[in-house]
Amino acid sequence: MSHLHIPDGVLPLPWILAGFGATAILLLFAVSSIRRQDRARTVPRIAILSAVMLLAMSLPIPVLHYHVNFTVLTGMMAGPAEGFIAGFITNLILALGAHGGITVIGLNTLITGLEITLGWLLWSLFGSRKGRPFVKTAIITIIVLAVSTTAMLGIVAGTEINPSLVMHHHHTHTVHEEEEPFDEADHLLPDHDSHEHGPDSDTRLASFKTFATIVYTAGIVGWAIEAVITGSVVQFISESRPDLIGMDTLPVPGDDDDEEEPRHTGEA
Amino acid sequence: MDIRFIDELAANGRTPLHAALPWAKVLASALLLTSTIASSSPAMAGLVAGAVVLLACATKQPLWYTARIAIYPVVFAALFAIGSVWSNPLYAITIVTKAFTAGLIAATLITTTSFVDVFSIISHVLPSLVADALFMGYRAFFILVDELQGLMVAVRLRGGVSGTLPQQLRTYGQMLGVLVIHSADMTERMYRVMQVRGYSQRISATSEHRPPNAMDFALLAYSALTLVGVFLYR
Repeated sequence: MSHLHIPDGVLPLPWILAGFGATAILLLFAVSSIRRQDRARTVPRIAILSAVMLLAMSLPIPVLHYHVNFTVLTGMMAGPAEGFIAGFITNLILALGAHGGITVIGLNTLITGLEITLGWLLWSLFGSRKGRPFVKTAIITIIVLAVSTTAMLGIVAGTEINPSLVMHHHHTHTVHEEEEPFDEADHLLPDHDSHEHGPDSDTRLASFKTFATIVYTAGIVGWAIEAVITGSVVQFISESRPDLIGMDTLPVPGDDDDEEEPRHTGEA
Repeated sequence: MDIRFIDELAANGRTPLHAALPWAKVLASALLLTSTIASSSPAMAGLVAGAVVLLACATKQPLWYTARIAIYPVVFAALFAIGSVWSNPLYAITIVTKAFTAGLIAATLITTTSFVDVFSIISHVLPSLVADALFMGYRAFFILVDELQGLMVAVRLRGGVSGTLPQQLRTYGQMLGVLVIHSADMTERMYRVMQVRGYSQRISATSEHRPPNAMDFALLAYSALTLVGVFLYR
């Protein structure tokens, strides 16, 4: 649920533009940071990761019709720069298929990028610690998704997209609405310039609380599912191809019996 | 979202809208999307929805194909609307209607225009690295889907789908782990293919199209009129 499923026409224009603007800046920054790498290697890597995320987001799991994101896995495998580009590509293709609004691509990419970057960061910090990769990944996944879900709710709260009962400032003083002509065009959308408090802001808050309750309730189930699946994937990868997630089966220095032990290289 | 189904509709359709130029359809979709976003009442949103439904019907493919895709955003719009159903039902109706319309616009575009054609237009505003990864990522998706289907059959034949929910999720995760490892191998193969084919830092995605005809102009005029109507109504 952290992936913004906000449809088109809900968010105010400044937020849409801010989302696109921030995404464009970060995208250019990411491209710039990897420009010295061999493009023939970088492009397929980003393409494959975006395809994996796209595949994961297209497969509904029967429980709540939830889909995993694999953003944490992408962060672990690719790092923040390549991962951000892959996240943008995935969100673009999803939006074209009506999975999330087209105008929300920017904000969606920021949320996805947050998950990827946080996943990379936490794995870099804790991936080399003792413990089964399954457990470490599951914990990291839950933390990342909790943070990104909260960020998504922060966006929702910040845009005040919940309807206010501020139909028109005149209506707050009328008892019978039929005494004044009802102008739908002016009164339906939230009045962003209104600073009225009282019952109207209480209604907005109540609407937001309802939405947040639904999101967190469904989200907790989704986080658990994604934690189990991502943990299983990483556990499997750590036993077969640990180099994909920055782990390596090099001999521990100073060990005479040449026993190989997975060692975290710190590289994605 | 069944991308394979969408791709098949776009590639194999033979309707008037399929024959229209990709850039005309993208521009028309943008105008209709703007009309949707600018709608601020149920009546306006309903009119725009009607205009888009008419356009979708003009594709002469069953409306339920595209409507099925458009239902997905409606579900999430309902989540936003649910908190205001009692306090502001008109707003709730407007939000849900706009979500359906926006979804139908995207669905109509993508079921009558191949993703590659849409990407080739979008790639003009993207860094070349991102555009190249976009094309390759789309192709890689279909390869991975085939591989995943084979894996699922193999797992089912070996009885891997039985057991408790945690066991099934673990099996599902391991299956995806195999897929991820194979995708890493695919990355290496792609690199070698690109080297052999002389990848020169940019995948060319241009194609020759005929000059715009009456259908293209009619499509653009229809969309523009819808937008003008919305702003006049406001």
